[in-house]
Order: sequence, then structure tokens, then C-alpha cells
Amino acid sequence: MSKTTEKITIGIVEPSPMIGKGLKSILEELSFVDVYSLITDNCQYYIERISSSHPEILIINPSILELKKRGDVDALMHETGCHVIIALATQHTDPEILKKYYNVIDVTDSKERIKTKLRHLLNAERTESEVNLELSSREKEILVSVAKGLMNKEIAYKHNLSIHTVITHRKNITRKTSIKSVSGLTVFAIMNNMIDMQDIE
Amino acid sequence: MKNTKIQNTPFTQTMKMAELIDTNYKLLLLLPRFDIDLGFGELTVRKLCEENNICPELFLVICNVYTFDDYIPDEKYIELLNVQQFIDYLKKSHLYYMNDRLKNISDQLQIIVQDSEQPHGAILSRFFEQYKVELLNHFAYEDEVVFPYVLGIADGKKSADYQIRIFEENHTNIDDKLNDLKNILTKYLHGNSSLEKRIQLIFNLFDFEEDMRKHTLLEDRVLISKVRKMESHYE
Repeated sequence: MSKTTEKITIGIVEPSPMIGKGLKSILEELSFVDVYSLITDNCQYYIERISSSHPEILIINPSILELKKRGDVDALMHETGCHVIIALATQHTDPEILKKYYNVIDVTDSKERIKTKLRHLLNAERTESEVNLELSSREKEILVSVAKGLMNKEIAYKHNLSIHTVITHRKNITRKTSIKSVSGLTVFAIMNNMIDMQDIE
Repeated sequence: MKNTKIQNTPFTQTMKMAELIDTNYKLLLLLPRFDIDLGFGELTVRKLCEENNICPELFLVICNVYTFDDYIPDEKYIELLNVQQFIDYLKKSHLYYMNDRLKNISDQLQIIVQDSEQPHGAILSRFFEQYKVELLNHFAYEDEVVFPYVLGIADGKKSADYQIRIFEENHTNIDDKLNDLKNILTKYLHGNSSLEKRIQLIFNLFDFEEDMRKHTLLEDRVLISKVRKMESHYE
């Protein structure tokens, strides 16, 4: 178990209040868990409601999503800002779709099984986030290019990378610095003496 | 945002105004936008609204959005909102943000910039100026295009060349830069300027951000659904 005392925050989106509340009470038996929001009514507004409470983990019943969006976990991560998304399967769901999620809690899972899934996840999560806090040297190079106002395509050409890789680097830069706007990244680069004022005129 | 309340019982008209303030003191900021003075004694929300000629449903919806993160107003409630008063409220909020909050933040930042080493100070003020322009444009669009359109429909004169859908699709997220400024000041600005002043500024930014977030929620969740309802009468 991780030594940190800070709790891991969870949001649940499940249209059945019985299942939602049941899962919440099971999860709350774990000392390291804080169920931050439980949404059972007006589920269609889950994005706004989840992103306003910022849980670290989102447990969502894929059946509330439109059919074509159910397997698009990347889009879901992007919309909600959660990096770990777990499917809550209360009825038969296409296994191909469930595979895309970080993990699956099934409505027939025993209490212990649900808890074990969460414990595993906590260990994986914490180790990953503690290791990768500093910008790598590649990310620093990309950051300098972004701060100078280059477009993704130009950055890809300059550093001999695919656009996809550039986008991944940019996502990681934003995750690590928590700065989203290009002009914010420019300020960051100047404050850390990575570029000069003249570079951006 | 960890300190906002998540509960399922929103405020009601029979509660005392003083209780609402006790639950969420930030509601005090809404009083000037409704021209309500302090000293309301033991008045209930209903009575207070009656005395001040305010639509009680509107007042409650706004107080609830400002207090409960997962609050979504009832459809029936949205029907009852007074549109003219709603738009007046939103416009007054814009004025308050521009003349009060932004000015304060700008003044506080100026002092810190003067005491910071160059070019850190210069780039910070430039960043803030860019944000300000973006925000003012955002407000101007709402004041000059969206609000007149909404008042038009409420008045029975729907303009043919606009739909609230256009607003919905373009209601861009302007919080990013504000959030960035907060992070830069907190995580990366160490300098000669006074620590107390920097902390004051960051407090101010957090507070402004929260207020703006609620303001955006009001527009996204309440204004848009109200206007959609009104538009549907024209179809």
C-alpha cells in the first residue's frame, strides 16, 4: 500500500440510484477512497458535473453514453479531465468496448473483488504520478517550440517526429505543468529561462 | 474546489435569507447585482424578493447554482424565470467583473510586476493583458449579440438570423488562461516582490475564477435551456 495519506477521489455516474449508492458504500469502506460525487439523476449532464468536481477516477456505466461513444474512452478522458476511467457493467456490454476501459466493475462482483480492483489501481496510479513529475529533455525542447508559437506540424518537422507524437508530448507537458494555453506556456518558458523575450516578438 | 458543497437539497423560498448566507457567504456578492441591501433581518427568500420586486425563482436558481456544484434546476422552474431580470443580472455581473474584479487583479499584478526581475514581470503583464482582451471580447459579444436576441424573443420578436445554438456552440472556455496565471504565480514565480502581495493576488484569482465558473454554468445550464424553450414556440 502507498504510504501517502491523501485520499483518492472517485466520481460515479450510474443511472440506478440503488446500484450507485451501493457501490459508493462499498468503496467508502476503503480508507483511501473518497467518493466525491455520485450522479444518478440527470446523467446526461455528467460531463459538466464530473468536470466541476474533478475526481481522479471516474466509474461510469457505459450504457448512459451514446452507442458510438461507448468505446471512445480517449474522448471521455478528454471531456471529463479524468485519466482513469472504469466501466460499471450492469447489463451485458460488448467485451470489445469494455476492453478499452482501464478496468471493469461488474454488477455481480463480490465486495472483496471490487475492493481488490481499487487497491491495484491505487498502487499503479501513485507510482506513475510520483515518478513522472519533471519535464523530460524532449518535452523541454517541444515546449520551447510551442512557446515560440510554432504549430504542431512545424514542430513535428523540426524535431523529426509524427504529429501524433507531438500531440502526446504536448498533453504530457500540460499535465505536468498544469498550464493549458500557449501563451501560458510561453510565460512558463521565459520564467524558467528556456527562451528569451526576443524569441517571441 | 474541494470545499464546495455537494448535497441534494437546494435552497427553497421559505428559507431565511440569512440562512442562505450562512451556508454560503459568497452569495453576498450577488446582492449588489440584484440591488438588494443588507439588513434583511429575518426575511424569507420569498418575502425578500417580493419587497425588492425580484422574480423569486430566478433569485433561488442563481443562489443554488452558486452553492451546489451538482445542482440542475427543474424544467418547471426554468419556465418561471423572468427573462428581463435574468439578462439584467448577467449584464450587471459583467460590469462587476470588468470594473471591480479585473481592475483589482490588474492593480495587484502591476505592483508585483514592478518588483519582479525583468523579463519575468514584462511577460506576466503581457499575458494578463491578452487574457483581459479575450475576456472583454467575450463579454461584449454576449452584451451586444446574445442578450438583445434573448430579450427580443421574450418580447415576441424573434430575430431570424440568430439562434441560441450558435451561442451554445461558440461559448468558449475562457477559464484556461486564468487558471494558467494562477498556476504560474503559485508554482513558478519566486521573486523580489512581497510574498503577502503575491498571496493576496492568488487568493483574488481563485475567487474570481470560482465566480466566473458559476457565471458560465448559469449561462450554459439555465440561460440556454430557457431560450431553447422560448425558441420552440416559434417552430
